[in-house]
Amino acid sequence: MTMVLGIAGSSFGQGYAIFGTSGKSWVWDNFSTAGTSQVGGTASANIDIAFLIGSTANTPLLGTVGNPSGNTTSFNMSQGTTIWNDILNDPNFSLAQNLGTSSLAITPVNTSALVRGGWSYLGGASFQVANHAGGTYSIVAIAWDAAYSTPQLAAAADAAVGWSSVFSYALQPDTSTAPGTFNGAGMTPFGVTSIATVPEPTALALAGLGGLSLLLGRRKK
Amino acid sequence: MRTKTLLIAAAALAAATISSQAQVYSQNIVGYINTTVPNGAHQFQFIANQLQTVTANGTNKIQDVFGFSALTSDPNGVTNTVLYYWNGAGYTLYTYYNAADSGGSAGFYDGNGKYVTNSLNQGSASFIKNQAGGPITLTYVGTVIQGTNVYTIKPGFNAFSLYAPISTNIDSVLGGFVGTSDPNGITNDVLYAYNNGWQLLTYYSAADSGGSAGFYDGNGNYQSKNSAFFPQVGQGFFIKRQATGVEYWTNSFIAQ
Repeated sequence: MTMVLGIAGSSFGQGYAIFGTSGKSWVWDNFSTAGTSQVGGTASANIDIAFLIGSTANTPLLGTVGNPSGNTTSFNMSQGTTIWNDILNDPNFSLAQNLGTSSLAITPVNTSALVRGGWSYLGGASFQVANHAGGTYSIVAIAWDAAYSTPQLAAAADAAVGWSSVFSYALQPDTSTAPGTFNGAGMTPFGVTSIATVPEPTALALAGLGGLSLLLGRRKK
Repeated sequence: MRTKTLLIAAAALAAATISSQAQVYSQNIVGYINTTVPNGAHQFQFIANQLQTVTANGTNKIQDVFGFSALTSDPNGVTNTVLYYWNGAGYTLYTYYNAADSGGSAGFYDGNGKYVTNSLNQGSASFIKNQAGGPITLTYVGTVIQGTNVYTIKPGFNAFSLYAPISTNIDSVLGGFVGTSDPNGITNDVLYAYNNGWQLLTYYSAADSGGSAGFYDGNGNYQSKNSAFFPQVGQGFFIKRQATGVEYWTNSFIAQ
């Protein structure tokens, strides 16, 4: 036989994903009614979701565990000052972009009873993730108060936020193989929670010291 | 996938109709199916052989089901047509070489240079990759299979096609699919429809959906009768079984 046997590899660089879940109860609303968790939100579509993607060799600044994993009513102030920064300025993880639209892959969390708390970017159609070839990556799903249309606007307002645990997800190198869902890849459910606006205890202590020094100053006079 | 279908039938079948009802008699329908495989961005197509081909080699042999004249061969293995043969768990890649390039018979060869003897049967599906500079057209020639068909759906991905060269929703009367349903969306059967990319649709029974039994998109919209998601003639689809154990799907196709 004179032929040279060989199969060309993937000829298109950007990997394919399905940004969605099957079923319900993957994200819940823990911010629109204080102290009450509402899976998938209330009657209004009030949660948007995107995802961070990075190499499996790195750990995202958010850590590996999703937050809040329980019924946390709010993050404290010190957490709040870093959460959005950790999302938007992680040197190793970036928010995924749709190659075809050059836009961030963002979609509302469903409020339909059948799939409440799940989501389905592009109705469940596969798409190419910009700047990421086929292969396995670490993923973190990020959800926030949909009153803010982008993560950047949400960050500017310290809006309610939540994220999944880190999980591995395979971007398919071509369309010959169907990409999996996020829950199928091992994503854990998570809630979206307010960032507290009340001062944290250390801030209160500093304020107290300020008041004390004012009093002391008056007595000296 | 652009598919052009022409069934050449006996004169008595000129007005043939398709029915899901069993009949005492049937007649053979022979014909051909043309399937165009683009190059470039859509060079992968999920193909299905829906006409039975019988030769001295056997039934539905990969080497016999579509003509070789349109396939491309390259002695260096770069621009050849490649069949991504679904083996039940993934793909086995078979590359086409013409006689000059192979130094033997024209046909598909596996990664070890061995001439392939597998079959591409009705009800199954595989991918084909067109690495040529332009589109290619696969031509299947054979007989339409009639009668009862039973699919075995195993946990995980299953590459299927309708046995007959028709385009309809798989949960139609002809398709006959009744899947596993779960109100929580955990163990439901999932259809991956192919249209140069994937569309995920989840099966819910009427009781679990609160509406029609069938396939729903991720936003909870009923999509079974959306023709955009029908498998086309000569095209395959995936069923992903999320529950444990096997499931059987039966349908019937009789021309009368």
